Amino acid sequence: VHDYFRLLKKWSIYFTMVLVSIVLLIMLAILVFYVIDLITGNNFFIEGKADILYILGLFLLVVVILEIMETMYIYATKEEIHVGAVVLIAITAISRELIVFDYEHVAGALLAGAGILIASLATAYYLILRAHREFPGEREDHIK
Amino acid sequence: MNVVEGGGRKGTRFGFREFKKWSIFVTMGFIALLLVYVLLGMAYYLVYGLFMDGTLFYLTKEDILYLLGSFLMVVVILEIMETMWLYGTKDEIHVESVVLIAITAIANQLIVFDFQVTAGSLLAGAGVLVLALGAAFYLIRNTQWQSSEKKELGEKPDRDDLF
Repeated sequence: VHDYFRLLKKWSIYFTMVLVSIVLLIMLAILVFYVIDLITGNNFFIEGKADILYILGLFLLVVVILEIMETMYIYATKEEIHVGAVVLIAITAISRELIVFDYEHVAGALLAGAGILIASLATAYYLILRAHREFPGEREDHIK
Repeated sequence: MNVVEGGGRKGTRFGFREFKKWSIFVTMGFIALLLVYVLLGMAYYLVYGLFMDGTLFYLTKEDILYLLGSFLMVVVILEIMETMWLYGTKDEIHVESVVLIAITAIANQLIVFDFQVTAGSLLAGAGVLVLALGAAFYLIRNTQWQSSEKKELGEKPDRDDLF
């Protein structure tokens, strides 16, 4: 039964990765078209800021997707998940949102909440890594 | 680890281990079905919802985030299955693993959060939650480490159970 389980695990990861790469390719294509459209358009200078932020957001989303794929790849090959890496990806994703935030139209509470969130994620990362270093477990674990 | 050898122990424990094991395996089978269903649903969403619909180049941020959320869900499902597998075969539950899976799940949700429509208090709450889980992981590991040091010194650990 264990072999079946491992096969299922491996193939679902690979299947997911193929789907993720398809999405990534579509996104890159959209990005290219969008940039071309922006450059050849007449109103390039008029609606500059929002468009540029949108493109920047898509670029950063590409980075986040690549990071997720990398985590999945490690999971499929080495059969271990590094929670610290996932937490870092979450920080990256939130920072991405913050970079392309339209600060003129958001409430201050939202920003404060995002700030608390990032601080806690960083602290959680620190605690997880420190726990691994100070108290290495005596048993092998698939999730670290 | 309280590993009970064999299933046919005398008294009330008779057959309990078999019962446990097979319940776990049946549950894992159902979760595997769910996983296959999620995978097929993702493929369907991608192929029919985008390619066939002609809306491929109108792929919005929400679509992408939805798909990413499903992808990350697959990983969480696999982690849960792995934990159950350990419980079914080795008779041990790693509480700290479950805590870590919870952190992974929350982090995945945060990756696909739509910040335009969320309240700040929700973000702050999620932050407090992640912080608490991280601290819990640290404390659990700390306690386990101390009890394993006690074992090495030949002292009796406080408790010896399957967690």
